[in-house]
Amino acid sequence: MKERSARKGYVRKTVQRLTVLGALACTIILLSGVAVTLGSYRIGLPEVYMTILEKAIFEFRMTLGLVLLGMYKYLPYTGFLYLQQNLAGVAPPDSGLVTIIWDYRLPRVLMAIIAGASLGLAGAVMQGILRNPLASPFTLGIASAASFGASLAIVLGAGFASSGSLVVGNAFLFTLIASAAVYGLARYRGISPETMIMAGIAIMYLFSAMTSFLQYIGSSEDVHAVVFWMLGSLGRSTWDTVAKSAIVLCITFPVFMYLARSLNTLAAGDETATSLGVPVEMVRIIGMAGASLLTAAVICFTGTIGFIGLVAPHITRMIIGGDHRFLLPGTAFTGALLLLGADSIGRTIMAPQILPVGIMTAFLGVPFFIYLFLRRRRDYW
Amino acid sequence: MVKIYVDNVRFSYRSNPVLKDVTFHVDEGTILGLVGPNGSGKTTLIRCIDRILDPEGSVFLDGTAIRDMRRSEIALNIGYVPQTGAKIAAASVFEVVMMGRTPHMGWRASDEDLAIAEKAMLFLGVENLADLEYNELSGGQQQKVLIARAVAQEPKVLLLDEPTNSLDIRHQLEALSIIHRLSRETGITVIMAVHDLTVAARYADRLMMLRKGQLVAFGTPDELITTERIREVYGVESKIFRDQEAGLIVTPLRAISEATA
Repeated sequence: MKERSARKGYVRKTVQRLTVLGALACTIILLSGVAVTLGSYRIGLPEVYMTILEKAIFEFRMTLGLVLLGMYKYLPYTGFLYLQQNLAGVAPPDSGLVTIIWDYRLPRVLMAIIAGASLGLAGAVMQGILRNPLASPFTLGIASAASFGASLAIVLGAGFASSGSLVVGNAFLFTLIASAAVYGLARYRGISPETMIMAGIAIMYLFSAMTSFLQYIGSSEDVHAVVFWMLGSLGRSTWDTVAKSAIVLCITFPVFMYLARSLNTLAAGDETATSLGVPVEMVRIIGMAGASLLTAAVICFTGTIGFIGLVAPHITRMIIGGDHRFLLPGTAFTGALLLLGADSIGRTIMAPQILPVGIMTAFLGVPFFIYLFLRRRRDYW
Repeated sequence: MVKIYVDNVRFSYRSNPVLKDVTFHVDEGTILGLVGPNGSGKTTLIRCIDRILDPEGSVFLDGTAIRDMRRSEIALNIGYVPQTGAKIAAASVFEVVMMGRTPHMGWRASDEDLAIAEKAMLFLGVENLADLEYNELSGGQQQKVLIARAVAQEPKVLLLDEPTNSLDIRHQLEALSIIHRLSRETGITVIMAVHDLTVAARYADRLMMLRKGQLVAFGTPDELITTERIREVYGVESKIFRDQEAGLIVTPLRAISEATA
């Protein structure tokens, strides 16, 4: 065998991984552009990018202008000039096209990206801290708690349409309650993967049963609304929901990245991780709290989209490997692509009928997952 | 110089006492072999020394109680090689060895970290496995990789739990002579639990015998291994040979039934 350095192989692999990440990011940008072109009113791809760019620049200048206006007293003369030149004459690029792209299609596309990224990320973290390939945000009862919260608001509240924020708030609230319950139960016996999974499954069944009970006593319209909520849909996305989910993603992602090395070490077991100086329980608690929050911030708006959190991490692990420093951003990208792709197809394949994205993700993701799973014979988990 | 001082260490799983007032010390740069029958508390003792478990009593490293040390500080000083068998999901061999650098490195591994990991792999002769998936290796290869990880950690004290458990005789010899060489070359202090008395006698400077959580004997292999003691601790009749080349050889003859023991 010829002289080959183990270190060089590792460095080469790192470069490969960064390349894959870059490629995924580019694909997302391209696919989101294509996704905006889709719909009953056809728009060309260059037009889409141009319109978005124009409108984004306009919005940016308006925001900047308003900020400057707010502090005009402290501005030097140049700032004043800027205001005069740039705001007075600028007309908002408003037309039908802008409305369709900016107000209707873009929020939905952005929500698909953020929701997919969040759910994938939450799944990757859960699988890491629980050292279990079957873990997903849903293992720990998070989704069933959200469903129960939403159902409760729908069945006992004033109906679906009029109480949107009640449904969202309730779903979010119950998710946090479920996480706290899992944490409390696991804490009692020591925070190990086994105790957390056991507690999570118990909580999951409890909330599913309570949701079933609500469906049993609810009126048929309520039940219909509950089922529709549980199917998962991006149709309720607005700039407001996009912003809220995005904020949570922007807060939790850096925390997860900071934990990446610890998550890597955790794969070798609690003892080894402890011995290597990793505060195992702390990492597990932060990871669980972050993943719960991330999931809650998405599914309270979208309803349950289950499959991404389980499968996006696996797909990414098979492509990019298990190093969480690459796995985490990679999973976010894969999750975003999966959800965006699924929603785009779901919107067009039976147009004008829109298929719920929860169903489409499974239809699209499962074959891809099985393909990777069969092709890759390595005993990777 | 005393490197590790274990003072009256006691540990119970729930109400079941596993270690009872164990006191001993290990000199810097020496190899201590822990021997004793199954369930005598060897693994528990090793975990207590690394503070994976928190026992009653104290463990001192260079005179400082490890209870007062930060977790990261302990990790810089004590390396631990667990028994093999646990899988490590989606990790290449190089990544597993790099885990050993965790206490030293930041988020991004430096060239030095990479070089040290590579050197550790060369030391164990596993550098050609670097790109393979850890889970695909044989038990013996995994064992060596785990030792390489501990070597990459550059600890002052190395704890090994049955490092030859899953190895055939050739790999047993290899692994133990590597550990022996490491200790002699770098002055590292080694504490290892070993099943085989002959192997323990050959590679350890001192032996310590545990039985049901109690320390029954401590001394050089020649002092410690006697047919009477093996009968008393293991309940086995044995013969001991001394060979010029092979050193002390223990050959078990037969188990004594409980009644006569």
